[in-house]
Amino acid sequence: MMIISWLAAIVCLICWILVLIKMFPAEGALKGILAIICGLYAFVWGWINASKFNLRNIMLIWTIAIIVSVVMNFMGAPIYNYR
Amino acid sequence: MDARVDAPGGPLPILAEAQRGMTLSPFASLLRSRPTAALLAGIAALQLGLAAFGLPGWPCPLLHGLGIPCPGCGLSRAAVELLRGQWRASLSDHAFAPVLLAALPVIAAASLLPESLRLPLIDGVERLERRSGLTALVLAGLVLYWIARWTFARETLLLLAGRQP
Repeated sequence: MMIISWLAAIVCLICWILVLIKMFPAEGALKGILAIICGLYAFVWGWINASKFNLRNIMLIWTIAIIVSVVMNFMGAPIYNYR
Repeated sequence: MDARVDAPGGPLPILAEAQRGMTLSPFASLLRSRPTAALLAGIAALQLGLAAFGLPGWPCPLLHGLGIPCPGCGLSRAAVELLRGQWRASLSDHAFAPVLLAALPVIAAASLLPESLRLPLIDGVERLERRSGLTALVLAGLVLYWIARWTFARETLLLLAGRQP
Protein backbone atom coordinates (compact mmCIF):
# COMPACT_ATOMS: atom_id res chain seq x y z
CA MET A 1 0.00 0.00 0.00
CA MET A 2 2.96 2.32 0.69
CA ILE A 3 4.07 1.77 -2.90
CA ILE A 4 0.69 2.95 -4.11
CA SER A 5 1.01 6.04 -1.90
CA TRP A 6 4.45 6.74 -3.32
CA LEU A 7 3.27 6.30 -6.88
CA ALA A 8 0.33 8.61 -6.31
CA ALA A 9 2.70 11.19 -4.80
CA ILE A 10 5.02 11.03 -7.80
CA VAL A 11 2.10 11.36 -10.19
CA CYS A 12 0.86 14.42 -8.24
CA LEU A 13 4.33 15.95 -8.44
CA ILE A 14 4.62 15.38 -12.19
CA CYS A 15 1.15 16.77 -12.89
CA TRP A 16 1.87 19.81 -10.72
CA ILE A 17 5.07 20.51 -12.64
CA LEU A 18 3.27 20.14 -15.98
CA VAL A 19 0.64 22.65 -14.86
CA LEU A 20 3.38 25.05 -13.68
CA ILE A 21 5.05 24.81 -17.08
CA LYS A 22 1.82 26.04 -18.68
CA MET A 23 1.09 28.59 -15.99
CA PHE A 24 4.32 30.57 -15.90
CA PRO A 25 4.21 31.86 -19.49
CA ALA A 26 0.44 32.33 -19.35
CA GLU A 27 0.05 34.10 -16.01
CA GLY A 28 3.45 35.52 -15.16
CA ALA A 29 6.06 34.96 -12.49
CA LEU A 30 4.07 36.10 -9.45
CA LYS A 31 1.18 33.76 -10.06
CA GLY A 32 3.63 31.01 -10.89
CA ILE A 33 5.37 31.52 -7.55
CA LEU A 34 1.97 31.52 -5.84
CA ALA A 35 1.26 28.17 -7.50
CA ILE A 36 4.58 26.81 -6.24
CA ILE A 37 3.84 28.00 -2.70
CA CYS A 38 0.24 26.85 -2.84
CA GLY A 39 -0.16 23.72 -4.95
CA LEU A 40 -3.88 24.04 -4.35
CA TYR A 41 -3.97 27.16 -6.53
CA ALA A 42 -2.14 25.32 -9.31
CA PHE A 43 -4.77 22.58 -9.09
CA VAL A 44 -7.66 25.05 -9.27
CA TRP A 45 -6.01 27.00 -12.09
CA GLY A 46 -5.41 23.78 -14.00
CA TRP A 47 -9.07 22.83 -13.89
CA ILE A 48 -10.34 26.32 -14.71
CA ASN A 49 -8.02 26.48 -17.74
CA ALA A 50 -8.11 22.79 -18.69
CA SER A 51 -9.71 23.38 -22.08
CA LYS A 52 -7.69 26.47 -22.91
CA PHE A 53 -4.30 24.84 -22.34
CA ASN A 54 -5.12 21.19 -23.15
CA LEU A 55 -4.72 20.17 -19.53
CA ARG A 56 -7.85 18.09 -19.18
CA ASN A 57 -6.11 14.69 -19.19
CA ILE A 58 -3.37 15.89 -16.84
CA MET A 59 -5.95 17.31 -14.44
CA LEU A 60 -7.96 14.09 -14.50
CA ILE A 61 -4.84 12.07 -13.70
CA TRP A 62 -3.87 14.55 -10.95
CA THR A 63 -7.35 14.38 -9.43
CA ILE A 64 -7.29 10.59 -9.40
CA ALA A 65 -3.81 10.63 -7.82
CA ILE A 66 -5.06 13.01 -5.10
CA ILE A 67 -8.03 10.76 -4.37
CA VAL A 68 -5.72 7.74 -4.15
CA SER A 69 -3.38 9.67 -1.79
CA VAL A 70 -6.24 10.68 0.48
CA VAL A 71 -7.68 7.15 0.51
CA MET A 72 -4.26 5.68 1.31
CA ASN A 73 -3.92 8.19 4.17
CA PHE A 74 -7.22 7.09 5.65
CA MET A 75 -6.34 3.44 5.16
CA GLY A 76 -3.25 3.89 7.29
CA ALA A 77 -0.59 4.08 4.62
CA PRO A 78 0.35 7.75 4.68
CA ILE A 79 3.66 8.88 3.30
CA TYR A 80 4.06 11.28 6.17
CA ASN A 81 2.41 11.42 9.54
CA TYR A 82 1.22 14.89 10.39
CA ARG A 83 1.17 15.63 14.09
CA MET B 1 -4.78 41.88 -24.64
CA ASP B 2 -1.52 42.28 -26.57
CA ALA B 3 -1.17 45.33 -28.80
CA ARG B 4 0.99 44.61 -31.79
CA VAL B 5 2.91 47.09 -33.86
CA ASP B 6 4.77 46.55 -37.04
CA ALA B 7 8.48 46.96 -36.70
CA PRO B 8 11.41 46.15 -38.90
CA GLY B 9 11.81 42.40 -38.86
CA GLY B 10 8.19 41.67 -37.99
CA PRO B 11 5.44 42.52 -35.52
CA LEU B 12 6.48 42.98 -31.90
CA PRO B 13 4.13 42.22 -29.03
CA ILE B 14 3.72 45.17 -26.68
CA LEU B 15 2.16 44.59 -23.28
CA ALA B 16 -1.09 46.52 -22.95
CA GLU B 17 -1.77 48.45 -19.76
CA ALA B 18 -4.39 45.86 -18.73
CA GLN B 19 -1.90 43.01 -19.12
CA ARG B 20 0.72 44.92 -17.12
CA GLY B 21 -1.92 45.42 -14.47
CA MET B 22 -2.71 41.75 -14.37
CA THR B 23 0.95 40.89 -13.98
CA LEU B 24 1.41 43.42 -11.17
CA SER B 25 -1.82 42.54 -9.41
CA PRO B 26 -2.03 38.75 -9.48
CA PHE B 27 -4.38 38.55 -6.51
CA ALA B 28 -6.90 40.88 -8.14
CA SER B 29 -6.70 39.01 -11.43
CA LEU B 30 -7.33 35.79 -9.53
CA LEU B 31 -10.41 37.37 -7.92
CA ARG B 32 -11.76 38.53 -11.29
CA SER B 33 -12.51 34.94 -12.23
CA ARG B 34 -15.57 34.05 -10.16
CA PRO B 35 -15.19 30.27 -10.73
CA THR B 36 -11.54 30.40 -9.64
CA ALA B 37 -12.38 32.38 -6.51
CA ALA B 38 -15.31 30.09 -5.67
CA LEU B 39 -13.26 26.92 -6.12
CA LEU B 40 -10.36 28.31 -4.10
CA ALA B 41 -12.62 29.47 -1.28
CA GLY B 42 -14.46 26.15 -1.18
CA ILE B 43 -11.35 23.98 -1.22
CA ALA B 44 -9.61 26.23 1.32
CA ALA B 45 -12.60 25.96 3.66
CA LEU B 46 -12.55 22.18 3.27
CA GLN B 47 -8.80 22.09 3.94
CA LEU B 48 -9.21 24.19 7.11
CA GLY B 49 -12.08 21.96 8.23
CA LEU B 50 -9.97 18.83 7.79
CA ALA B 51 -7.04 20.48 9.60
CA ALA B 52 -9.38 21.47 12.45
CA PHE B 53 -10.21 17.79 13.02
CA GLY B 54 -6.61 16.65 12.59
CA LEU B 55 -7.46 14.81 9.39
CA PRO B 56 -5.15 14.60 6.37
CA GLY B 57 -6.13 17.01 3.63
CA TRP B 58 -4.48 18.35 0.50
CA PRO B 59 -1.44 16.19 -0.40
CA CYS B 60 1.27 18.77 -1.13
CA PRO B 61 3.12 17.75 -4.33
CA LEU B 62 6.47 19.04 -3.08
CA LEU B 63 6.29 17.33 0.28
CA HIS B 64 4.79 14.07 -0.88
CA GLY B 65 6.77 13.85 -4.09
CA LEU B 66 10.20 15.07 -3.01
CA GLY B 67 9.98 15.02 0.77
CA ILE B 68 10.67 18.75 0.99
CA PRO B 69 8.24 20.85 3.05
CA CYS B 70 6.86 23.62 0.86
CA PRO B 71 6.69 27.31 1.87
CA GLY B 72 3.07 26.81 2.89
CA CYS B 73 3.72 23.81 5.11
CA GLY B 74 1.89 24.21 8.41
CA LEU B 75 -0.24 27.08 7.18
CA SER B 76 -3.56 25.25 7.50
CA ARG B 77 -2.87 24.15 11.05
CA ALA B 78 -1.53 27.60 11.97
CA ALA B 79 -4.70 29.20 10.61
CA VAL B 80 -6.91 26.83 12.63
CA GLU B 81 -4.87 27.53 15.78
CA LEU B 82 -5.19 31.26 15.22
CA LEU B 83 -8.96 30.92 14.81
CA ARG B 84 -8.99 29.08 18.15
CA GLY B 85 -7.04 31.91 19.79
CA GLN B 86 -3.86 29.85 20.14
CA TRP B 87 -1.67 32.54 18.68
CA ARG B 88 1.63 31.25 20.10
CA ALA B 89 1.10 27.81 18.56
CA SER B 90 -0.03 29.49 15.36
CA LEU B 91 3.10 31.63 15.19
CA SER B 92 5.24 28.60 15.84
CA ASP B 93 3.61 26.56 13.08
CA HIS B 94 3.53 29.31 10.45
CA ALA B 95 3.86 33.06 10.87
CA PHE B 96 1.81 33.87 7.78
CA ALA B 97 -1.47 32.45 9.08
CA PRO B 98 -2.91 35.97 9.59
CA VAL B 99 -2.25 36.72 5.92
CA LEU B 100 -4.16 33.61 4.88
CA LEU B 101 -7.05 34.43 7.19
CA ALA B 102 -7.15 37.97 5.77
CA ALA B 103 -7.14 36.74 2.17
CA LEU B 104 -9.76 34.00 2.48
CA PRO B 105 -12.74 36.28 3.24
CA VAL B 106 -11.77 38.48 0.30
CA ILE B 107 -11.64 35.43 -1.99
CA ALA B 108 -14.99 34.23 -0.63
CA ALA B 109 -16.54 37.68 -1.09
CA ALA B 110 -15.25 37.85 -4.66
CA SER B 111 -16.99 34.59 -5.42
CA LEU B 112 -20.30 35.33 -3.70
CA LEU B 113 -21.02 39.04 -3.99
CA PRO B 114 -23.17 40.47 -6.80
CA GLU B 115 -21.30 42.24 -9.57
CA SER B 116 -22.24 45.69 -8.24
CA LEU B 117 -20.28 45.01 -5.04
CA ARG B 118 -17.76 42.55 -6.38
CA LEU B 119 -16.17 44.79 -8.99
CA PRO B 120 -15.43 47.72 -6.61
CA LEU B 121 -13.89 45.23 -4.17
CA ILE B 122 -11.63 43.77 -6.85
CA ASP B 123 -10.75 47.24 -8.17
CA GLY B 124 -9.79 48.25 -4.63
CA VAL B 125 -7.60 45.18 -4.25
CA GLU B 126 -5.96 45.90 -7.59
CA ARG B 127 -5.24 49.52 -6.61
CA LEU B 128 -3.72 48.35 -3.34
CA GLU B 129 -1.57 45.78 -5.10
CA ARG B 130 -0.33 48.16 -7.77
CA ARG B 131 0.44 50.97 -5.33
CA SER B 132 2.06 48.90 -2.62
CA GLY B 133 3.30 45.77 -4.40
CA LEU B 134 1.68 43.92 -1.51
CA THR B 135 1.29 40.55 -3.20
CA ALA B 136 4.87 40.50 -4.42
CA LEU B 137 6.07 41.47 -0.94
CA VAL B 138 3.99 38.74 0.71
CA LEU B 139 5.20 36.10 -1.75
CA ALA B 140 8.82 37.20 -1.32
CA GLY B 141 8.34 37.15 2.43
CA LEU B 142 6.92 33.63 2.27
CA VAL B 143 9.89 32.38 0.29
CA LEU B 144 12.40 34.09 2.60
CA TYR B 145 10.56 32.72 5.64
CA TRP B 146 10.74 29.22 4.15
CA ILE B 147 14.48 29.59 3.43
CA ALA B 148 15.05 30.85 6.97
CA ARG B 149 13.11 27.94 8.50
CA TRP B 150 14.94 25.44 6.29
CA THR B 151 18.29 26.97 7.25
CA PHE B 152 17.82 27.69 10.96
CA ALA B 153 14.94 25.47 12.10
CA ARG B 154 15.05 22.50 9.76
CA GLU B 155 14.25 19.90 12.42
CA THR B 156 11.14 21.77 13.50
CA LEU B 157 10.04 22.20 9.90
CA LEU B 158 10.54 18.51 9.10
CA LEU B 159 8.67 17.44 12.24
CA LEU B 160 5.86 19.80 11.29
CA ALA B 161 5.69 18.09 7.91
CA GLY B 162 5.57 14.69 9.54
CA ARG B 163 9.08 13.67 8.58
CA GLN B 164 11.91 12.52 10.79
CA PRO B 165 14.82 15.05 10.83
